Amino acid sequence: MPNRDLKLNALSRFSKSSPRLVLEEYSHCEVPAGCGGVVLRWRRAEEPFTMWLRQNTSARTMVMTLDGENILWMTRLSVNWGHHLFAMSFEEVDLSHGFLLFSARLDDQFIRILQPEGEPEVLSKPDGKWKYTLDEPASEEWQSPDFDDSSWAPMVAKTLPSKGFHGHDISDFCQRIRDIGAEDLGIDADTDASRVWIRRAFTIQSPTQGQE
Amino acid sequence: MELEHILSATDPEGDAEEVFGFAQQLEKRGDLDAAASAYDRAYGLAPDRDDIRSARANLLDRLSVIEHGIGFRYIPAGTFLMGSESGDPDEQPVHPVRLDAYWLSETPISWAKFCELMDFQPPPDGRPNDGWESQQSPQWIDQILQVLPVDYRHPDLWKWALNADSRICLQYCENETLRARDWHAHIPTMEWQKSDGTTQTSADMFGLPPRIDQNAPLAYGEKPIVSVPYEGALAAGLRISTKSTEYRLPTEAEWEKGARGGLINQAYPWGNEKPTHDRCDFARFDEFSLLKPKSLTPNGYGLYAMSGSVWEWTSDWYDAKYYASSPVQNPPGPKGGEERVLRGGSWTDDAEAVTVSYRMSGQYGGAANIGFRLYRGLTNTIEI
Repeated sequence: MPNRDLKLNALSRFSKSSPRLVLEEYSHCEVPAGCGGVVLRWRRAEEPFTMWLRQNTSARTMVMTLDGENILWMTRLSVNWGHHLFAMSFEEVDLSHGFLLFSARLDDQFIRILQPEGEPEVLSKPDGKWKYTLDEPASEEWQSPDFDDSSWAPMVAKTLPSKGFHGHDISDFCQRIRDIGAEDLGIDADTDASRVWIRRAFTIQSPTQGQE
Repeated sequence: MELEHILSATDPEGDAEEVFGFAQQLEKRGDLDAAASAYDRAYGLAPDRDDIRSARANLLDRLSVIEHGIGFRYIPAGTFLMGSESGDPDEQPVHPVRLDAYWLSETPISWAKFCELMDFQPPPDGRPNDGWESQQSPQWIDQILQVLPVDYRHPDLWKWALNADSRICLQYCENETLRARDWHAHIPTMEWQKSDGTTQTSADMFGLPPRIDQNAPLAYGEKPIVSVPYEGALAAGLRISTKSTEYRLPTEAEWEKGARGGLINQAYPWGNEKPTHDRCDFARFDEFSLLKPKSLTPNGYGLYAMSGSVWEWTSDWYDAKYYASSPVQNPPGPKGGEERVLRGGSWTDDAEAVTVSYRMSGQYGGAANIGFRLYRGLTNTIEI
């Protein structure tokens, strides 16, 4: 009994997969129907899919957008297949520490899709894909996926402090993001700057598009 | 023309006029079951012919029954092509399935009807009374205990589960409700104590659920029950079954034949056109509500909401490869498995998941889009 009910609404209770459709489970906390209103949904893979985003920083967040649209630091995103960009800007950054942990991904606990191509998850890693600049961009074009960031520098591995911007202990929450596979990032620069602009581009393609 | 030819035919090509004439002869002779099969075959060959459609519908109406307050539509004996070449891999191969005649409830079972069948308190309570077990047939209780999962065999635990499921029914199953809200909103007089010792009601805290008519009495007999476990659906059928009449969940094959409504090789109960909202309760994820099945158009067998509305339990275990080895005659489904087959798609799902051939599977019905309809048969016995 306890196990049955703990898993009552879990996607793992439904083994059916489809090469054409995505199965999503919305828990009772995520749908307007509220308590007890769990909903399952099969929908076309070509339509926007959901990424779960978790992010933490030791600095003040000034900008956080997906393709130029504002997003929250912990949210469920509706993302179309294709090329995208996460853009962030932080101020009051202590550059002697790392200041960014980030995870946005398809989560197979909540969504079932067969072998999406590209990047089904975007994790902070010192892999050259996370780029920054300390020079304020001339316009908001830097938040566009098509912006040329070839002059921006790659972020590097650098450990976050245990306290967040407001002085709260963030170590547990950071660890949960690290457990997903994200790594602490900072920048390697000898400067007293305190404002940083960051870009992370990614592409995700549906399996049905890949077959075409 | 021979009846056996009619019963085994699946070819979409044939002489509809000849089969129609044969059906009329059989009906005049009083052999109504055989006539229904022949009309069904003629309809499959020429679904646009008004004379065939009308004669078939008239006979199917005569053969349909109302029992326990449920309309059961007659499905003639015959062979149909099960599955889809253009669907998911588990819908293939398309294969012939021959079924004896049977009946399906014309709509999914409502919450009110479910409670009536189970001898539970009517909605919105929806639970068994204290001492309910002692008032039931010991034979039925034994049957129920055999099909319940081990961890559900203690009656109090089952009641707890029903209580949780009933909260979801509160939100979706009331006739007049237009949109699900937090379940507390559906018990407007429920009192909450505030920190200062005063109380306020659910209506104060959550507002009233949007309804067509706020003054209409609460009733739960027109929309499907949701969040119903497979075992609960099975139990409802067992409770009213007798030696001569069996009520149970349909097999997957019985469900699909019923959904097709007599059409051959069509994706939906009405044909190949993509669904619309006057035909099908589908792709309304953002609306969090159920439509009344009888507000939609029935299929050729007179069945409502075979596409969309709620996923419906079948008695088959789910096996993605079963079609490759399924017997032709009255296939009972795989002998074992971990999940049961769900069919029909629901109000949340896109058009591709509400076809007559799309297969879904699940262990437990704790979701706002899973329900069931009942099979009625006079002779068949499917081992479950």
